[in-house]
Amino acid sequence: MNKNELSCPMKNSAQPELLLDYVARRLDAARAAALEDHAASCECCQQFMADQALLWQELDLFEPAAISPKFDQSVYARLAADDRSPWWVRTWRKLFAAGEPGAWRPAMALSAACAVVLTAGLIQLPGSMPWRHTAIHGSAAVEQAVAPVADARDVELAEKALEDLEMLQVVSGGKL
Amino acid sequence: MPEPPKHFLTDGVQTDMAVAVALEPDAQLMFRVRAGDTACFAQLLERHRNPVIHFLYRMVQNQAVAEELAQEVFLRVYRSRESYEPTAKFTTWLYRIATHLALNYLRDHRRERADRSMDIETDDGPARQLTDRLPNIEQDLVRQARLNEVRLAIERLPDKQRAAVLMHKYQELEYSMIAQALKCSESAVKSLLFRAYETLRVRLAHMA
Repeated sequence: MNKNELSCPMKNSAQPELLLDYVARRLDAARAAALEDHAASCECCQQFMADQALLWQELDLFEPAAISPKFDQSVYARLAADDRSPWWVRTWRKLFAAGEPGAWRPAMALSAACAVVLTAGLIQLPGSMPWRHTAIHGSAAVEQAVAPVADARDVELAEKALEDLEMLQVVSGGKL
Repeated sequence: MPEPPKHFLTDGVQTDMAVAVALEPDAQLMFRVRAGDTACFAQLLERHRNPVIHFLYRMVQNQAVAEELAQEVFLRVYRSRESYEPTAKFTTWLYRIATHLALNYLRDHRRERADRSMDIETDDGPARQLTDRLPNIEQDLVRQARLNEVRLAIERLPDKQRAAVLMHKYQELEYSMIAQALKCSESAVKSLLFRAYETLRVRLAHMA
């Protein structure tokens, strides 16, 4: 192959953009000429270039709409409102909505770490999660297991109350 | 325009300003904004307003939303003046913010878009005077139909492919800049573009 001869861009994965760049008129004169030389004898590239050129023309139809004359005014109004916002709002925005997309990630990681520490601390504290007890007592299986114990305690309390009553009768000489 | 706080005028800024002299004009303007020169922000707005709005308009295909998002882009640029570092070209950074906002918008309004694309002719496009249309009303109708086909074909592209095509075709950004804006490699961008153009060629083949 000649030194200046171009390998087919459709077959050479190292420079697939060459044909796109040619149609977009982004190739320098030397490379464009080399590509044209190659395309003259390559039906595959010719077809691609013709199809892409047609698409390029069609895409030109998509013109932008007219911009509102009040656009700049709206931007400056938002900047002024932003500067008037409280310091904590500005700090929050700096952390979570800075110019660089993804700038919130360190803040997000910090928040997640804090949440994990807080949750761990909460779990470790005794009596810090009363709902756990409620949940245990609320389950039917546990209630069934606990029921006989509760009944025995009720009987014991009733017996004690009767004993107390008898004691009172003794103390008051049988007059209640 | 709000007055910049005095604490912007620091020695650090002076040092950065010296660095910025060797940089592209936009980065120099950004450093002056950081130093409190609000007129420079107006210059940045003037230079980049139209391309950013046009890009966003083609992304979301709604002029009011595009302008709203563009306001947010410039607001973020202004808010970031203190932490701005010219690690990439200013334009790349700007399109990175714009793309991020547009992709978020598209993700959050996917359902509405599906409904809207059923009735794309009702959407706002470039305004045309009735008097302009009278002589060639048939041609204009054909043109409008073709435009709707193009808009629909672009709208149906996956969001990232759409962003890549718009930055390549209309904003004429280099592959490296598109790659930075989309946070992917240059080869990934080329692959995205190849697939996107192929899809568009197939979808619009009947118009040839």
